[in-house]
Amino acid sequence: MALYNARGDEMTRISLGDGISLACVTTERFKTNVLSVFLTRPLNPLDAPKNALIPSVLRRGNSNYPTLTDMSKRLADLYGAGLYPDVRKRGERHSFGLISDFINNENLRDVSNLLFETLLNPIFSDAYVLSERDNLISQIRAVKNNKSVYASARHTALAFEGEPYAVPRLGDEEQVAAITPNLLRRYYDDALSASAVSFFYCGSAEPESVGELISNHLSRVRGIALEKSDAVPICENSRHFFENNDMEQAQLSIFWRTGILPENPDYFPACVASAIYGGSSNSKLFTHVRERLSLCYTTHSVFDRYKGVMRASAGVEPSMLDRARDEMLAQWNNVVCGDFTNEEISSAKKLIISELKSLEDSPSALEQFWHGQTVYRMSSAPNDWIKAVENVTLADIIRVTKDFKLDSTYYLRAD
Amino acid sequence: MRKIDTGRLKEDAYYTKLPNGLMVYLIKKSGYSEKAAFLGVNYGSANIEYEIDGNKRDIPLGTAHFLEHKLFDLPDGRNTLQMLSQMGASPNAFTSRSATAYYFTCIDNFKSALELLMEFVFTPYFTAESVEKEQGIIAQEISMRLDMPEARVFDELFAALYKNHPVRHPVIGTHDSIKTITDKTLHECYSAFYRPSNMVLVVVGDLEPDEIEEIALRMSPENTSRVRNIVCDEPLEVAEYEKIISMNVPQTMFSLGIKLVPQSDRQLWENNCNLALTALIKPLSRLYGELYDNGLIDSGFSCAPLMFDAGGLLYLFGRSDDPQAVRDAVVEEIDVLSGGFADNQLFERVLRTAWGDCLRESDDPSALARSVGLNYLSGNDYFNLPNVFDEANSGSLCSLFSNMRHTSLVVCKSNKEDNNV
Repeated sequence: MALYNARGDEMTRISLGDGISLACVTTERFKTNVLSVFLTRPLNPLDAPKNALIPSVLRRGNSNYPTLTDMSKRLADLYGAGLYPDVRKRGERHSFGLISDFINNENLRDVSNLLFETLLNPIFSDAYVLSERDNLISQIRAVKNNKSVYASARHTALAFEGEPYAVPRLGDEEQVAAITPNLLRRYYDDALSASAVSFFYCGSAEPESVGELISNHLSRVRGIALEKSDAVPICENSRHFFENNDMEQAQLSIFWRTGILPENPDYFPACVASAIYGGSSNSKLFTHVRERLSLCYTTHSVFDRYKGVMRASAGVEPSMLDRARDEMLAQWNNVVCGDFTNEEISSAKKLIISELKSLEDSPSALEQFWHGQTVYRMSSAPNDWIKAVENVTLADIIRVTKDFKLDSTYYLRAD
Repeated sequence: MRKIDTGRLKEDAYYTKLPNGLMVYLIKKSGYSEKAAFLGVNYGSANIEYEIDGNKRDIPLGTAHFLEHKLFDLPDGRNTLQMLSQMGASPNAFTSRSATAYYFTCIDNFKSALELLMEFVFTPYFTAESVEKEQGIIAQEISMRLDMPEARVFDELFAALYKNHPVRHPVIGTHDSIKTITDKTLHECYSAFYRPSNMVLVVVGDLEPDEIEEIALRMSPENTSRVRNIVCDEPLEVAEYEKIISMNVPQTMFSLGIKLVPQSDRQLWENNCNLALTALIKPLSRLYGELYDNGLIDSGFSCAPLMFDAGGLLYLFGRSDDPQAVRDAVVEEIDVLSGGFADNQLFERVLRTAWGDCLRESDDPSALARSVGLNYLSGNDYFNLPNVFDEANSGSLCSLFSNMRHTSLVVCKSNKEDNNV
């Protein structure tokens, strides 16, 4: 089925077999073309580090270009094309794969050959697995270098203990250390025959020809469809978590649960509510916690549609932690009570709509959008989202925010 | 506005220099709904003095950045950030060692947003009260940076590489220096540097040249003279060859700087430095593969050329158990490359990779606006890039390498013994 956006780009989704799909944006507007492949599986603690490790091992070399330097030379010959390993946590699903961006569309065949050689004929030697395993451990430890990211990671692990959502994007360090080359090779063979597989292409080639180009390589790949997502448990009593870390500034993080699943249209009013609360420099958090009270430099809130949770955060002077928390909660209470102006609603909507429209001007943003849609088997386009956001009313926001349940508050500070 | 011949950049671009000296660019992107505006000033944290009536005045560290925060205020109390958000624009600003810039992206209401951006940048308004309030916010920003090891090794490297050049100081200032900044300081620095002839406006999007020129003309003030560039007596040698700091990090990280000697054709030199860096240590290079295979660097490694008035450096950053070994290998490779490229395809591949990066960037309106603007502020012409690429040759890269004689290394170690990998 083909859809057109306001700029005349054609958006097509093609099924290439059970659990294997291709999303295409056909356009001549960009100099950059994008081709990507992702394998998606349920998020769980044991598999997460393997999923995180595989793309980096693949990227080390394939039978035609066995070393990193060989790969880089090949990419340079393709006019500076890029080939990036990536792993994504989308709610309680986990995707890993490869993204390529390249300049000349005449290179599409060569780029797709390189992508499939990398995916299907990797070297996967013990040396590559062990060295990427060390790198992954470094990467996991490096989360600690950014205190607000670290606070977010720790709070997520504590608040969602026992749920898949608690599993970090790169997995836990102890689980990584247990991976052996043999185990990973076997796991990867399984993954190729039992994952949801999604391809994305943005460029000027016809979707059918891209579909054919891909289908030629799929003899060893078996896709499966993923189950619909589960309802989210809601805690009855909100909790507090305190942790110490040697640092100047303190970090504060607050989670709310909503029970809104990705398919639920209540996502749109929830998203507008979060934007009013902490989405921009016009939000309640920014204007009150930062500008009026000078309590912090950064503060914002984000709604994760894949899990139906909202998180607000701030980096504050340690002696001001309680004051900042009280003000953040009071500002959320104002949102719930409908204590906001029509201007606040309309500017929150404009913020979200601008982001959605801008997304259509960026091949990599389109890639990420359609990946998320495919993982949750949703077919709505950015344009449909824009309409849904436009239709959100004050009553919708009040109705939806009533069901936001304060889950927990997390404090990170020096001893 | 006059049309620019953009050659193989294949852009539909226009420019004009207004009578007041403000340079204005429009890069028209047909079919894009996103629009970007970038208003830049040739004034950064390294401008720590200025002349008034023949007398030199010192500026407290962090003033350029403080000024950037406070310019969003207007005398009638209108909240410009809030107004821009209400229009659906995403505004922001940054201060670097060599420039300050105010920018936004939006879909609708572009003209009103641009008018507002120019209004607040060209309307200085500071009170003792609002300056004091901002000190609290900036103090939190300083604390945040002190908690970020990447920011620490970045700032420490400038201090290690430079003995006299004012880039050696942190952009944001210090807890002490920002306390000395008053509304008077801000007013004086504003009048010294925020002059149309010292600034550039870049607009990217599906817009018409005439309307952009009209807004720029109406919203910018009369001219005053251009500000002179930083001159300083900086030796070739570095201030500190190696510096070790310790903080709460899970593993050792490092920054390595290669001090560069500016050449007269600045744009050609800057582009050649970027090509040289690609040949030296980007993934395409022999050395990157070797260091990666030996576990001395990992995928967290990054590098970039950093250029400013009267100087420049190649900046390398990564995690490593043995940063000294990385430094020694880089220095050795520089020596090898200064004697010529053994792999005769390397130069062609370097060119293709760098050109690909350049085209990729030009697909993103806000990145393109920034690049065009920063090029202008440092005296370059973005649209001259195809010519600069054509002029590059492996011989000039080799001679660049032979001038790379001085490096500084900053190592950030864990302050807990058992924590290192």
